[in-house]
Amino acid sequence: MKTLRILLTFSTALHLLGWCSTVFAETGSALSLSVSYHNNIPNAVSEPDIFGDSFTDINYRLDRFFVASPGNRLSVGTTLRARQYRHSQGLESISAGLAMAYSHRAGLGAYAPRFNISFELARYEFSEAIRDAWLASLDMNMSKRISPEWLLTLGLLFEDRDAKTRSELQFRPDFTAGVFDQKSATVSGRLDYTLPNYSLLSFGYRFRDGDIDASSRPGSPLLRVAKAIARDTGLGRNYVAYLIEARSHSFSVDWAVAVTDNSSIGIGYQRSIADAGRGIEYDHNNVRAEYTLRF
Amino acid sequence: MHLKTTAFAAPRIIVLAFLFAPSLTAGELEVVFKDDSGQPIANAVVEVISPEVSLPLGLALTGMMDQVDKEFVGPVLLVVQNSLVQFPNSDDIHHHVYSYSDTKRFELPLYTGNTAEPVLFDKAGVATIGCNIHDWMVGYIYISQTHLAALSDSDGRAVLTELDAGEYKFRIWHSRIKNRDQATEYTVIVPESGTLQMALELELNPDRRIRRAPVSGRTNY
Repeated sequence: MKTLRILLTFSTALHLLGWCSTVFAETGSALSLSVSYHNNIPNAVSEPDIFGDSFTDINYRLDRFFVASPGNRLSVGTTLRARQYRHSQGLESISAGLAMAYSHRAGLGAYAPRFNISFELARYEFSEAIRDAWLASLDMNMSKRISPEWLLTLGLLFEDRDAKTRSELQFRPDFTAGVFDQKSATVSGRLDYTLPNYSLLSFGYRFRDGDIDASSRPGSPLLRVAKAIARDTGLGRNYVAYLIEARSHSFSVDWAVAVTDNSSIGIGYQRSIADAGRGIEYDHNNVRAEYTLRF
Repeated sequence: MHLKTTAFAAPRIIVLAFLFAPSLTAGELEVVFKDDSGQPIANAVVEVISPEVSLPLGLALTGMMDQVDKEFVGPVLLVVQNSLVQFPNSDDIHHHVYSYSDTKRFELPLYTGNTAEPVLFDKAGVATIGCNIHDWMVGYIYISQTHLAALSDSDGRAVLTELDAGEYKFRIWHSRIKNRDQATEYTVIVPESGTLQMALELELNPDRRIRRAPVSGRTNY
């Protein structure tokens, strides 16, 4: 919790400094509240290890935008996130992060392509410390508006999650316990369509290649592809957490209805199918209802 | 009844009614715009295109389109050709106003307050205005060839006053009118006295501006 407090203090100071600035910077903040159901919380490959749960997320993001020159904008921001599960114990989390982003528009007007690069460093802390980690993410994307209705976005995301290896949770002597040290790369595409009533339909695809944790009871076929293993004190139930390398395909559809110019409600569905090789596959579905307020 | 109506390539525009209402004020033309559900249409333009008339002496050739709460106020401004238009920024953030319409191409990069130079609109037509930072901001400058032009109010009413008696040809415009590439023109006979009233039903395209409302996880920029 100490690192989280330091991060919070630093981000608060950063924003106070930004607000006091005489530069005509623009502040953008958004609060979102969502309720989701995930049908495979542990990323398990088979019954009876698979179970689902619902959870509530509260996310807050505050950004200060500095328009450096025509078409170029720099932003610094803070992210705060909290998650509470309905049944599962040990997975509740809070996080705080600092983000920086640079955006360049190649041309003039809404139809000129925009290139964005952003970096975020966030600290995640869980009710059970096994998953506590720093998460560094580098996101690069390009968006091109095709018409007032259609917007295409292509993205590349690199994530590096750095968690403390807790040797006291080592499960087998021939494997390290560093399950939550993970690296991944994700390629994504999204197509947004605005309906006449300003509701927004989004169709997304993501291909993720990299490390992921999956938990099961001992004896799982996950052992065949595991890179690290640890007792999963977060999930409990005598589960063991495996670090595996998998390639996953995710498909999503979202519908966001504008309530006002600064708020919207939405629902979303995502299906992911992961393949870790050697016959290890798992999938999960996620549904979400969300309210977003910008102020 | 002294009214002739000519609609060029705009069969969906219907003249609903015309009335000659005796009045002490001579030579007025009042056009009331409604959509197909009977709701009044604001920000529609009526412009006399014939006969050609000279501009009155002392007519101020100026205009102003403000920006408040990240929107163009109006968002339609009607000015006479060769007007200088100011684009003050009443927000406490930068705006970057531009137009790449054939009627007028210009750019007012990154400014606040009232520091931007006025823009000369020396060609008749319509210029679509945007902000390069806030994509949902859109405005229209209608540049008329004559001072005999009017913009409809929230009741859908556009009134041309001080018309001499005689035959006038006028055109109408709205940013969302269907078949917008083709001018829609009407001919009327304005009486020596009284107000000539017309009701026009316009079929409009849906309002398909870029969405402003937030989407979770995105910055909307």
